[in-house]
Amino acid sequence: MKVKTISRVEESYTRDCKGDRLQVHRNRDPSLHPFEKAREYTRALQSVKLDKMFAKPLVGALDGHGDGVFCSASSRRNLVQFLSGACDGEIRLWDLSRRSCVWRAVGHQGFVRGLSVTPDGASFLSAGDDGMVKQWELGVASDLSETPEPTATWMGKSGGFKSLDHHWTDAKFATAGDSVDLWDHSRAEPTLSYQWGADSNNCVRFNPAERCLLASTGSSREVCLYDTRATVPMRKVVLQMRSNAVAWNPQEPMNFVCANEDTNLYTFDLRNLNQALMIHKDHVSAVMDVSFSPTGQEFASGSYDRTVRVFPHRAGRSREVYHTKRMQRVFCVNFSADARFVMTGSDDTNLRIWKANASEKLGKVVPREARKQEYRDSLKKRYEHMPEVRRIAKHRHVPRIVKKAAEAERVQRDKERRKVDNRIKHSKAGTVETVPERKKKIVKELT
Amino acid sequence: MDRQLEKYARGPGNSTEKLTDQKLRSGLERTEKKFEDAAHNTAVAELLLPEDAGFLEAEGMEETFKFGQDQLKEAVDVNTAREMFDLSLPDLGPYAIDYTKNGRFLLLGGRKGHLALMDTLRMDIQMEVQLRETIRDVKTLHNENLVAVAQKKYVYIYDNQGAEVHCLREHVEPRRLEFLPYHFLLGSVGRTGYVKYTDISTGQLVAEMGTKLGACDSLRANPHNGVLHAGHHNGVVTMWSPAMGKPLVRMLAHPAPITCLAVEKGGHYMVTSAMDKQTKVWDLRTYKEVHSYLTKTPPTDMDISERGLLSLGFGCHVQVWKDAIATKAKAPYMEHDLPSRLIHRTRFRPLQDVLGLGHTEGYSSMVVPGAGEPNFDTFEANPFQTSKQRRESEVVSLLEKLTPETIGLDPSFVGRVDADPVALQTEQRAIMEAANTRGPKVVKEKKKMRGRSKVAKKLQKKQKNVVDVGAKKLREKREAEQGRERAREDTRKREAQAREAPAALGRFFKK
Repeated sequence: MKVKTISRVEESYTRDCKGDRLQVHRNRDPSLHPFEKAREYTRALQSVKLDKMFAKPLVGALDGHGDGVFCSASSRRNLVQFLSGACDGEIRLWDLSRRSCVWRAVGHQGFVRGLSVTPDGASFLSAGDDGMVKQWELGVASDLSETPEPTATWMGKSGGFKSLDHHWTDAKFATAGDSVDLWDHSRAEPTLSYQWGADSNNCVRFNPAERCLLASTGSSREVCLYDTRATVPMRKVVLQMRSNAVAWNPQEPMNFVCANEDTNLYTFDLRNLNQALMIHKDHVSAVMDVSFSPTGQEFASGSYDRTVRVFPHRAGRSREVYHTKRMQRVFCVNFSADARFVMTGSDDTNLRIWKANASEKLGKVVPREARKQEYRDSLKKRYEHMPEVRRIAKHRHVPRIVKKAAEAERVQRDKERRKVDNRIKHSKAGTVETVPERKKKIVKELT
Repeated sequence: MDRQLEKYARGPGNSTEKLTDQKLRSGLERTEKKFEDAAHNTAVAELLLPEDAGFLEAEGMEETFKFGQDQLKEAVDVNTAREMFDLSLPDLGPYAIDYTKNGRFLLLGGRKGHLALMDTLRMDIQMEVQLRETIRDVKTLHNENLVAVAQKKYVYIYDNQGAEVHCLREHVEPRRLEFLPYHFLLGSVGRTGYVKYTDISTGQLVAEMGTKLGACDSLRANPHNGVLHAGHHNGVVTMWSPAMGKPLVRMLAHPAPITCLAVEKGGHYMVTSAMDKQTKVWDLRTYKEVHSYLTKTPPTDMDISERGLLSLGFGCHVQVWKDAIATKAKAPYMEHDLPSRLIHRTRFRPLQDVLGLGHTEGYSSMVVPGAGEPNFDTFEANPFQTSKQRRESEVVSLLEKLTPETIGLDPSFVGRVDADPVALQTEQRAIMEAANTRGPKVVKEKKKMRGRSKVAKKLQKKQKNVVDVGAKKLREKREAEQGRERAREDTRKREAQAREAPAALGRFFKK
């Protein structure tokens, strides 16, 4: 007789003393784990619900400005320093980790219209309604009482500036006002000045990858592209309504997003401007500012409808919407350099810090927890099309006024669609020309 | 390696050949690759499993079923020999038994009200009470802290101290209990013939369905999909899900009352026994009989172990069959007798090579090498669970409690698009319907007036409308023959008349 039986000795399956780790034995035989799919689905459902429970996106509000916050900028070298400029001409430097103001100065008369940190992170520039560009030291001063002085000043030729952006590597910056001007740190006059149809330009942004590429938006509803090696603008696209801001995708340098007055955002490929790559809808009022995440996968936008939305860069609808009862019109939005936070400045004189991912845990995450989170995320991804999971994941509470406006917009859209459908239905085949939505909003492309 | 890969594979992958969408295609291919890698890696990781399954092999002229437990006791190690013991409880039997999911705790319920919970690792009694009421069945719930008892009138739930926690008055006169650990559902059937489900985490009655087949004495859960199989007195087996008011499947398994049934862990096979002394193995994918065994007396209880061993208890005998489900075995694997004691329940102890027997005089356990799963998974069932682990697993399993709707014949339907071709779907439905159809209807004969219900009359009446093909043919043949004879007679007559008639009238006769 040959015999062997299962004979487990307790000592070899349990820990020796209380301080030891508990022994874990795994057997992945599928028959030991019945209801695999149903359990995974339940876990996915549970993790979506947990996400909802832990969704506390507002990290904090930075209070201190005496007027609405109009522009902001963060350093590309430092996660802690953050700049904001208000409508009363005050500039403040914030320490984000302590959530306090560490430096302030009345920089301009009238609005502060643009702020930008130099690539070395040692100084920053500000532009204002008073037609001045000022350079300031970006240090953490301990004494708030001393009166700061700009280290350099540049004077515009006519009128005030509307926007300012510093070059990503060189000692150059661009301003937008009556014309788009290109400045050198060492020169008192702009080295180049572009003008193409617009009375005033709202926004100007350098491409992070292409050193000579510049984009601006103007009052005559256009988004204009410049090659800074040439003396005349390169191309422009005219939309149906004005664009308030433009942002380049840091990972796909040929793509940019513009925030439009018609409540939408448009992604363009600069090689093909006669149609938008994607229309991002969800805001119900003019979009005031847009900022790309450094990952290039998503961007945040702030709107006149008092909400901030986060869009995946290839999605037509927003992933996330942030609002509070006190937050007013949002004028400036900034994605942090670690892609984890979104900073917004609004008319209610406050800066707000939001998590880019509403349910993300701040603070230290132990590896086991991180793995669990990864597992949950993949389950959510796997079951995202299940009706219950999708419903919970999609649902967001928005202010009533936004909800009503969205509903009204939907009614209008349905009406338009119905109208076109009926026209097609009752006409000879092929006689009704339909223009794709992505082309409809584009008036013309000029080169 | 291929066999192992097959074990861990999750079915055939999606074909990407016909896809034109590049993005979708590459995404699907990536997912398929992940599945393949996962299967491969788990198959490779089998090397790391600490234990091997048990076995019992005969050498030379020996036969495994001739080995007695006393012989085995000498051959096995002390730890295993410790598992062979008897509990002599002659007064309050027969005993219904049940083990916890991790196989550590044994629950005993004597017909005359004796309820006891025993820690088989420490060999000590956790709880022992006298309920002073008939106990028909016992069942441990998700862990050893709660047990359900089918008593004379209702189902009661007791904690590990023996205190009555709940009385489930919806379950009237219960006879058998089953527990679905992932759904936290306690199912029962009883004298009223209703299958009832109670969610023990909320206490709500989830579903109650009338079988309309009278009192029911056998109920087992399919561990693969959570479907409850009930065996009835008319030989029908019905399968129930709380999501459906009617049975999912209704099959005529035997021409006699079903005594007991069991479902294999993989959910592919069901074994049923009935009063006709037949023990039949059914394939649950086709609902066809695979093969059957004939026993001397009908088995009173049976169980299937984790590794597919079948135990049958009848009278004072216990038989254990190996490789007897998917294939037909010639002889039992092991046999065991308990003289002068009648077997009431046989249950394999999870994760151990032990078969527990509840009988009229208490409890006995026998060692069956190769019955249990050698490698346990800590997060499913851990025999060496600490109290903290138990608490944690309780919380996790409650959070991951499955809804009753996830119980169906195919448990993997969740999250899947039904992509079977219509032809296949109709075919499957036809198979199911064929399994559900009853045999020919038996018409009860009316009692007629005196003299008309005699056997001869009845037989005559039965023959009245019967059409016999042979007789019909014979009759037709005879009629045809008669017809021809008649025609010949006519011609003969006519010819005679023609001959006898005067010559002038000859032209009126046909030539």
